[in-house]
Amino acid sequence: MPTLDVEHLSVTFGSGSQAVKAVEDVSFVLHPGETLAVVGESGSGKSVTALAIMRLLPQHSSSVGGAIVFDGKDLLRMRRGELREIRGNRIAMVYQDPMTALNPAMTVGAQLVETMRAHGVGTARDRRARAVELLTQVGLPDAPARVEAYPHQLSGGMRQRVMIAMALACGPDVILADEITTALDVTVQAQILELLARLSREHGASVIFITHNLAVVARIGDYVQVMYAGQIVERAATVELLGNPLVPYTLGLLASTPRLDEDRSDRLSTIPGEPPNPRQRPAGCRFASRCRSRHELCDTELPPLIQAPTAAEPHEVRCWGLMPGEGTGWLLDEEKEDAQ
Amino acid sequence: MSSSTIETATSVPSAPRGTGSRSAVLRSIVRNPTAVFGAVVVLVIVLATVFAGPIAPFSPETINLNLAHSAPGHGHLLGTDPQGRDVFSRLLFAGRASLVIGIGAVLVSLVIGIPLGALAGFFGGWLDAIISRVTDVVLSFPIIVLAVVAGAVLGTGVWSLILLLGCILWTTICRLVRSIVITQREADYVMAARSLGASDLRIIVRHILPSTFGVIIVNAVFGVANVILIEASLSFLGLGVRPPTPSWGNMLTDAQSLGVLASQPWIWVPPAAIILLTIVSINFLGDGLQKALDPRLRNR
Amino acid sequence: MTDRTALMDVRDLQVSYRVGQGRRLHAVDGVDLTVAEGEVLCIVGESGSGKSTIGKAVLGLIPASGGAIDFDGIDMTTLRGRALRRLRARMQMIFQDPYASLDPRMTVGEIIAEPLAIHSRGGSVHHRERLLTAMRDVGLMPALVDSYPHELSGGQRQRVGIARALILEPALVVADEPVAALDVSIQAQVVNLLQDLQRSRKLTLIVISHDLAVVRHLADRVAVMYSGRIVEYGDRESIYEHPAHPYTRALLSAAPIPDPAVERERERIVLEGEPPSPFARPDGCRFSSRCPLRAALGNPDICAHEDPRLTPVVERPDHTAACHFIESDRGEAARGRASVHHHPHDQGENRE
Repeated sequence: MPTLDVEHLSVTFGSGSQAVKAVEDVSFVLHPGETLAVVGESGSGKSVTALAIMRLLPQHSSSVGGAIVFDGKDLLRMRRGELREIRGNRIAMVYQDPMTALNPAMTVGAQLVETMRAHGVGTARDRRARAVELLTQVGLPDAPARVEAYPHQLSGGMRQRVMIAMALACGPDVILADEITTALDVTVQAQILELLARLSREHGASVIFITHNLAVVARIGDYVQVMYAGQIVERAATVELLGNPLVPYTLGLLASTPRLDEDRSDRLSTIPGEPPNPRQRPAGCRFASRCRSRHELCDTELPPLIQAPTAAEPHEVRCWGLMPGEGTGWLLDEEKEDAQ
Repeated sequence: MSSSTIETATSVPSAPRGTGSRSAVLRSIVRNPTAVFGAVVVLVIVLATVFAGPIAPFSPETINLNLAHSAPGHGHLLGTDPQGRDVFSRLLFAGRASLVIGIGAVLVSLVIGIPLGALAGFFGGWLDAIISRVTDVVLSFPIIVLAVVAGAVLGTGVWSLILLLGCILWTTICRLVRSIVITQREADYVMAARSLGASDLRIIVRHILPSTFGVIIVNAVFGVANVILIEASLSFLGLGVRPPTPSWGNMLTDAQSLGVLASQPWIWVPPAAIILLTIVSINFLGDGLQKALDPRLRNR
Repeated sequence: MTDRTALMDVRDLQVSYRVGQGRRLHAVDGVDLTVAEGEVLCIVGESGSGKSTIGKAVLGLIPASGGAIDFDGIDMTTLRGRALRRLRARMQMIFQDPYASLDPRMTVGEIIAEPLAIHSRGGSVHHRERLLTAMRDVGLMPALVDSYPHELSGGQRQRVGIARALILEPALVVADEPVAALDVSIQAQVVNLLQDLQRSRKLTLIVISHDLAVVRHLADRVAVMYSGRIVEYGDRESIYEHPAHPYTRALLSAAPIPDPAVERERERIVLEGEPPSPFARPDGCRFSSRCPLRAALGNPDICAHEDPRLTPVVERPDHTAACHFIESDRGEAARGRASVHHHPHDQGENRE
């Protein structure tokens, strides 16, 4: 049984002409111990998906559709009390900016204890010991002393470790990590990625890792799901997706990312233009206006998410050019010669 | 997860920066009924006092003791005061004095407060220390005592009141401007202007001060209401505008007599009511402006 | 490279701030740099390494507390007021956050033309022409001239910042993390634009970045900073292909590559700990407490007591590194051990 089953999730902010469809018909399953990387640029809906799972979207200005099934129950239909039992306890979130997410007036130890107390984990004495243990586990140097430190006395990397320790405090089934390494330096980023992978292995927790950085995905995800303008456009196992990218957007993204191991080619290849305005998204494929392989059909009809016919493994794509059939599938013939 | 961490996440769609376009500001005011009410009332009062000459049926200073203490009627819309002057006409001309003092004193306070605040905030150091201490000293003077002293030195009247109140009230503006300038001083766009070779003067005038305008406008509007009230109290005590020139405050002086207060409400109710109406309307307008100029409040 | 004229020559630059009561934060602590005319120098390092401080100090935006900065033969640290401002017409800056660095109350046209107004070059007709040319050069549609920054996308805003920096045709441009705040698909557009403009105008460019992949793409020469110092300095290829300093090696190994196959094969050095506090730095090598090479060598005393200077790397012209063990055979051998030792998957191949 999957840990988390997201079905046809959609999120709309505002209403009428000002309505913004932040997430459209997003479905995925997360199995125990799995790490799913969600990749996308700003406005792709990746962070909103995470907030929807946590039920943290502002209630008065957003409407959420679909279902998010966790442990046999739909999170979207839960009452507040039930939700509190799950949030922070069985589904925990780690944020991008630990400085704003941590309480500046409490020591990190007190915050850890508070989290455990709120969810009734352990006795008062246990909690203190467990706080030190957690901080040790996440690799905070000198944890027994640092338990008394305030957030501002720690470096960015240490604060992110504390955030992860807080997420782990109640032994969650799912950890949502939203751009947690973006604000960190590369060497610290490497430390945190290793840590997250190890913890997921040891604790068996599933991880949803949200990032804009395809290169980071190569280190962390079992599966990758690429989002563009509120929709999933490509999904496969990490090795398959990065080794055999098919959808023009993913190809463009990879080609425009300068690589550390490649000498300077004369120019980076680019994706022309900018993502569509979320208030006036096109009727057809969201990427059509920037796509080099677009046909007329792309402007008018939205392609469905289907299994790519050329892939040997599970590999879903949303592109008319990859869909077999009459008037579609023009990318299937040329394979991906020009894109590579 | 403590509740504080959860709250921070809900504020993800952040508000846009800056005050936005003029049309957005205007639209926000028009949609706000109390602000529209305030604006209309203020406009009517301003027009009525500006055109007091043509509108007023009588001269405000012509004494006619035969008609003293007349109740409303007989061509005197709001009756007459103890000197037999037409209350309605006096009300209109008194508005002139009150509004001129209100606006004038605020302008004086802006002229002093903005540059001093900008200098203190931008340069900091000893300059800031001196300016801040001066504002502290000025703020700690009781206005009434100052008014008595100033009245003795400068003489009383509209212009000396404007000067006096302007010289006291600049401190609020100065502190406000200083605090905004301090936050903007280190902003990236100020650093950018500096890297272009812009002089300090240009950076202050062209880049930093415009960011204070929204707050200054709102404060100036509230300031006018505040000055009108102070003027009224000073004039009521005989420290402000001297008769025979009418002001809303000195029109109330007559209410110091118990007989007038008890049995001749037409003499003191109109100036009291118009002061109340003006202050409330200006505050409504100020609130509306504040909401309109702050994008975070605009769509509430 | 070395025979080209130096446009900027920085010697023993020190920048420190007073923080709180009597404490001094030494952001930059003895840096020598030479930037030749028409070259792209990239300064890489992590937060707190002092790289951004150098960028602002060479433009005279923050005062140097020691050392000299020669720009075209003039020592900028001796200039004040008007003379310094006049010099700034020849050196410009591109900022990391294109939104924060544009005045929200000015239109695109006013922002880009502001340098012309400040340095009062030519009449307003001339201004208009220069403005439109500058906009075209960075790929901004002329129709945007009356827009406000909040109406633009991130990429467009950074183009405005670049147009503003280039409108006076400066000799030197400092770009502080010019693409870090942009979306991935927009980053490439801006990197290409910078590269095109640099080449067509023979600009001298100092790029400050934490992104090693972007740096490899843009740089002619690279300076790697750690804890207020340059620890490795030299030709781009030499540094990326043969990094000599253990910190540079760790940095390169930490940066991810979007290819799981390559990632699995790579040597990966995961550093422990944190850089030393900028208030109290150690006497010896600043990297010594975290250095995997030193650990592999059995913690030699010299690292803890003697501060290594930048010294030439053997057989590599124009490549220096600040490490006591870059040249010795012992160092080579130990480096091999160090990387195997820290490899997460045991059969890692050595890069040398």
